Formats: sequence, structure tokens, C-alpha cells
Amino acid sequence: MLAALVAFGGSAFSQNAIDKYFNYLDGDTSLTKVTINSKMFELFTYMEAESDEEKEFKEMVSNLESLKVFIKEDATDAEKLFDEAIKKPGKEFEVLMEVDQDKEHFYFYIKETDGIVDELLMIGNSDGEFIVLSLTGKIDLAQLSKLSKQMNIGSMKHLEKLDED
Amino acid sequence: MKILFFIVTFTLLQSCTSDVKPLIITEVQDRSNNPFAGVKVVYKSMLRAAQNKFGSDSIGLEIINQIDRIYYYQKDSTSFGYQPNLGGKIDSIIATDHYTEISKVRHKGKNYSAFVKHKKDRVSEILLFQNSAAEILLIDIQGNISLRDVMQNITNLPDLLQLSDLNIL
Repeated sequence: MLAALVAFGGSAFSQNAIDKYFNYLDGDTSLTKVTINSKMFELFTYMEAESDEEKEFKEMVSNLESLKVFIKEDATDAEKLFDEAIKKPGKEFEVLMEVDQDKEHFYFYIKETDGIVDELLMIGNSDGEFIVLSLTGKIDLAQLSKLSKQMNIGSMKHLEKLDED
Repeated sequence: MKILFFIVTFTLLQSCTSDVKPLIITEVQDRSNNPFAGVKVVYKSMLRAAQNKFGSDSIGLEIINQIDRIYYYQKDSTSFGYQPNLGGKIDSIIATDHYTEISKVRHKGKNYSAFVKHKKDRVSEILLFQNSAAEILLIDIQGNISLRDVMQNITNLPDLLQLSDLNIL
């Protein structure tokens, strides 16, 4: 009983990185915030899967819980926001990858519990667009670049580099 | 006789193509006591004409081609005809009328919820709704839209809020 309560409490009250470290951005009305809940990911299961690869992708998506994004387009202070933001993630996050090319600078972090990636955090400045993104659930990193294509999240395309390694 | 045949055929065709109006829109119009007051409608042809007004990275032409019409309603608490109870009524329709909430959007300091109605992988309605003490705003998109295209535009949904800034309304 106690174990069940602890487990329930853990899942119900566990915070994602945006809620935990980026609450200070909530007051900035120039930022757009998009929160996608698990219902949205459940909808992926209605899409036809023709190949084994697509079936694997659907399986991965069905294990996702939420996606939260802060975006500030045409931000004159994008660099300042970015420099502040990359100082915020706590010790539970480790840097997965840094991309610094042309006018783009991105950090990708992951949080693991018992060897399973349960959160991906991305902080970026792409030519004046500041973005913070948190994806939670049971995450298969190998499938993430496909998710970025399905959901048209261009900045996550950098995760394709993980496939190349 | 030919004229009568034409009139009957035309009437039948019209009745076949007219889509059922969403309950939410009927509710808003009924409360306005005028079916043409308050709610604005943007049709596909107008949307396609205005597509270039959206940013190049925003809502794609594929999704616009699958939209039949968009209903738009906005009233703030200082507007003539503002009905403070309408938001609650719309909330109750959403709760009972097979909508699935897929996301929440905060844009320019305002909070919206996004819902869809779908059958398998086809979406018949996307609803963006804001209900606060100061304002009611709803954007109701009707069509036969591929779920995949909705997914691909999910983070661009706030761009639809630009509709209020465009000259097509």
C-alpha cells in the first residue's frame, strides 16, 4: 500500500525541467508556451504504421507523457536568455550534446532514472529565436529525430547526429 | 419543367454540401439572437488567398487545403453583447461533446486550450478556446484533416491566432 502511494506520489508530483527551473520565464508575456499532453501522443496510435520502423516509432510515442516548449521569436535578447537558461538545469541532467554552428547554439540534456531516459531538455538560440523544450516519458533517443520530423520541431533535427555516431 | 428540375437539383446539391454547424457555434449564435452576429467565418478560398500572410515556417499549405472553414468569435468584457456565462456554457459543451484536449498554448499573455474531434486518423474539428474573466475567444476549424498534418503543425497552432490580425476577417 505504502509502495503504491509512494509510486503514485512520485509520478503525480514529479516536475519536468520547465516547471522546476524555468518558471521565471512564465512572467514574460512575449514568450509563447505550448504544452502538449499525453492525449496528443495517444493520437499517434491512430496513424497507419506500414513498416516495422513506423511500428517502433508508434511504440515509442505511446510512452511519451508531455512536451512543453517556450519560444521567443525575433528576440533581441535571445543570447542573454540562452546564457541564463543554460545555467539552470540541476545535477540530475547531463549534457547529451552541444551544437554550436553558424548562428545556432543548442544544448541537449537528458535525465535518466534506472537507466531509462525519462526527460530530454533542449535549450537553444537559433538566429534570434530562443527556445526551451522539455519532453518527458519513456524516451528512446534513437527515435527522437523521427518525432522531430513528425511534429515539425526543426531544432530537434540535430538529434539526427546521434544516429550518425 | 426544366427550370423546376434545375431548382430541385440545385436545392438537393446545396443540402448535401452544407456541413452541420458545430454545437458551440450554434450556442454562440443563439445567444446573440442573430445568426450572423458575432461569429465570423473564413472560407477555404479566403484562407488560401491569405496563406502568404502567415510566416513561411508556420501553418503549411497542406493543412490549409484540408480546412473547409474557420469560425472566429471574440468578445472582451467591455464589448457590446458580452455574455459572462457563455464561456462556462462552451466549457460544458467541450466536456460532453467528444473533444480531446491535445495542448495548451500561452500566447501574448493569454491562455488557450486546443482540442480536436477525430475519427481514427481524420480530424473533423480543431478548436482553440480562451475563457477568462476578461475575454472569450474561440477559433473553430472545420474540415477533413489528416491527423499527421495536425501533428506536424501542433507547435504552429499559435499562428492561427494571427487570424485576428489579418484583414480577412
